[in-house]
Amino acid sequence: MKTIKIDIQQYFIIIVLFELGSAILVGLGMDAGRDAWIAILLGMVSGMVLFLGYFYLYKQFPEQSLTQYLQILFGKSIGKLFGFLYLMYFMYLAARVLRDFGSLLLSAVFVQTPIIVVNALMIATIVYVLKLGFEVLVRTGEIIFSLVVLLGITLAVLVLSADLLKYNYLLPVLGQGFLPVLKAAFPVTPTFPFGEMVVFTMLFPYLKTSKKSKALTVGLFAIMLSGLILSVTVAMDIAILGGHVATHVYFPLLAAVAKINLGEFIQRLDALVVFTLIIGGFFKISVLFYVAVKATQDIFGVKEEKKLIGPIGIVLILSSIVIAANYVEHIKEGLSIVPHFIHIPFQVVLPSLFIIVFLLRRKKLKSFASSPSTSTE
Amino acid sequence: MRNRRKRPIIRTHKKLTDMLADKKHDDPSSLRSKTISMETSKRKETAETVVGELSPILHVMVDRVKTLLGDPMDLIVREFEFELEQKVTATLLFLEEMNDPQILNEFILSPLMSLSSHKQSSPVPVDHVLHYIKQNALALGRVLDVETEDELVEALLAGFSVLLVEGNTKGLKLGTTGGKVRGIEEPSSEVVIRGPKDSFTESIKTNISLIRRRVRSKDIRIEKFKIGEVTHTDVAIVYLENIANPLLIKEIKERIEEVKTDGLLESGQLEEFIQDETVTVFPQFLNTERPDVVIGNLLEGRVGIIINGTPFVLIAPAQFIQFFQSSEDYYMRYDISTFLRLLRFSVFIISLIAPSIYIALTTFHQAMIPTTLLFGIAAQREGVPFPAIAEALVMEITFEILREAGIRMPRAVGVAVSIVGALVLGQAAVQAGLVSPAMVIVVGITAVASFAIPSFAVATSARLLRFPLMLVSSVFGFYGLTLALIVIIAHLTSLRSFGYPYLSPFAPIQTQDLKDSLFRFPITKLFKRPKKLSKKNQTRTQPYSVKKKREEETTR
Repeated sequence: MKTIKIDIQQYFIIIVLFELGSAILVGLGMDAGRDAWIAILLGMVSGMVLFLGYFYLYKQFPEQSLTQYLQILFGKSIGKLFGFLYLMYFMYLAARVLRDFGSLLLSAVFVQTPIIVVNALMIATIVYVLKLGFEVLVRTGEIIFSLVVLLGITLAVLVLSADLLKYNYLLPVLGQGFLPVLKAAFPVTPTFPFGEMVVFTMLFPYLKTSKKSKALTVGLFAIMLSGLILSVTVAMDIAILGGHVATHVYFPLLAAVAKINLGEFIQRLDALVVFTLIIGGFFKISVLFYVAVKATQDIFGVKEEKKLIGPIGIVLILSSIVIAANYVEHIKEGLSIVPHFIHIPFQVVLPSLFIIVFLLRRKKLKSFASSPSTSTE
Repeated sequence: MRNRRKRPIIRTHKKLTDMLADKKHDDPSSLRSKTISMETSKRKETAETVVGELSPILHVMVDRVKTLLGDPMDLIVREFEFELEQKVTATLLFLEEMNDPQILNEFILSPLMSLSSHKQSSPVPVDHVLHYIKQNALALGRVLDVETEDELVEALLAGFSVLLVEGNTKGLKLGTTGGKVRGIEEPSSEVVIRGPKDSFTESIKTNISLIRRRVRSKDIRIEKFKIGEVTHTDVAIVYLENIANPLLIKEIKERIEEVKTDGLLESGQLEEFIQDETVTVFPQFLNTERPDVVIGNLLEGRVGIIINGTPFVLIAPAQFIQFFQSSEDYYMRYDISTFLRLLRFSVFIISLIAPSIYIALTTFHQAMIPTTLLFGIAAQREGVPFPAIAEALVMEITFEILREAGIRMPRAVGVAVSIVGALVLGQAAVQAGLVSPAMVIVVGITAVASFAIPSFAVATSARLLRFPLMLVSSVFGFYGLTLALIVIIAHLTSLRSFGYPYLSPFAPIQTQDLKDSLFRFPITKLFKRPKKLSKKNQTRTQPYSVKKKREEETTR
């Protein structure tokens, strides 16, 4: 089988696109009101700590993905069970993001179109791209990245020149003290999108071997960059819309950009944002999708990953519709249930458990890990 | 006179054959030549071809050639004789219009017929006649031996003339190829304002000479192949040995050698045989009429494939971005070149998605259109009974019809087509309320844009992709359009031309190569050749800077 190798700059681009993919759309840390941008920065820092943890695990098993080394760590059956849980998690994430985008498009553009059509179209695209191979996805990411940067710069210039920013909306900084911000920031903000870096435990092994030493710094830098972009975006949303409105609309960025009106000619640019978001969403769902495919492959011992792409795609379309009865429910779940009961266990608790187990069994594993690692490759 | 001449010919013929028969027993050299020819005949027989050695009797041989070729009217058999101790009879065979009569007369017939032995001190043995006239009489660059009938016929068909001498089992093929070929003219498909004005012709020899004249490097390699069971078309690959990647050369050679077909008429056919991916609308070879383009690409480590019979030379591997570059970009200042490249690329995008954007805007995203313009468009569309997509499809297809008609029509009728196209279909359709004027503008822009793309091949891809994109955006607006574009990008990234990524240097990113992609940096800053193409010999330019002199220094 051909093994895919990811370059270091490709890896950087994947992380940034993945982090921004859907997070830039929804208001992050909005519980902190006008200090949401600080909450995001806090989330970013703790996300980086989580990333250190994931990276530590990867260092111990540089040739294996999460679902593979779990089987070494816990033995075949329990390892597969954990792997299966993670598979469910990845697929749930993918379905959630897909639903987010379907809903966004319905509310913004296709008011009368059934959501299943919109979602199916997205999945069809992703299935096509993934069938061409993960490498194609990564390279497409490179082009998408330059497009997104271009659009981002355009939007920033337009926002600045449209004179929409009212900085006093952001003042006073930390008006109610630090506590509300901390409350808003923990434990929810680190989990989305920074904690979702846990999917990269599946992708680390594909890094080009010569570049592995740089992977940690580049990864941290990518997280920092995306955290800063998110923070600035949220600050911008608040400065345009005001703290109250920004925290209460579903898609603050859309609402903010819609306000741009230059000379009665450049207006209603929210379609441009939607365009950017479709690209970001496409990428995020694709990565989650691929990780799910990889996990399935490891757990059920399927030889050809291409055979799994179609079926998993169908499962994703259906589950994206079944996970919530309507958009309000979907958002409610996303804000209050998913972070506490799904994100935290999978992003923080289980990985910590894995690290602890690893440290306890290190000596036994040393002798054990060396032989299967060579046989699996 | 005639009779007197003929008799000695027969006599000499007998004499010669007798002598030959005698010689065969004692002369080891002729024995060796016989065994060799037997070996070759054996080899040919296993390949199931009717073979013969050449018969030493002239008229037998001539008859044999005539039967093999079906006694064609353009086969000229010129018998003559000359004197070399004794009279020697010879025949010159050639196909009439494929040879240069002047060369035949001046450099073959006339020196041979005026040949006489008094220059020679010792008599020439019969089987050395060929060797002797080759050394002394034929004032010609290309003179080669022919040993079998197959070779003889092949030589005749390739435009050589063949000289047979009574009593010899060998013949000589003479490079007298001529006949009328098109001269070197200005390129018709890649016109430039500044740059060389010559272009390739249908003749592979001319084409190779055009390249050779410009690259006086000992490292240039030209390797020949023959493709086509029937046509025996000459195909040559050209590359610079010290730059091109040997693995690439090997791959190209292998692919060309594997082509088995009856005939090869144009480079497009070979392109379809040896391309990596068949199911795609994008061209995987660059084709050009311009020698300077080929050389520019050779210098970057690419390979040129020249096919006899067409002025279009293939260049492989091709990258997507090359189709937006023109050779002129390197001859003009870098700033205008960069501008033009960006323009061409945006023109490609326009010709690809302009109608789709119009459809998406008017069908789904009316809010994005500035209000006054929106009113204008709405007013125009008020009387139009069709949805935007139907309108667009009708107009685009009409345009495609006009375009095709314009190419195929005899020139005299061309005016009629443009009148019908412009007036009847354009203006009248609008006035009749069938299409809106805005739609006509969009179609017009699309059409003009597609003509501004320097490469016809990639303009065709945009032309084909336009229709599915229109359909998608009529159903799903910008969302569908975005996804469709992602699919196109993903498809492009998955393409490879001889293993080299098609979208390089953008995906995967090659920072160094980006300097000469959508942009063109000043030539003093283009230090390196494309990274992946020329692994062994990267540096192309040494850093250079002019030491500016002050006015006093130069005008003193």
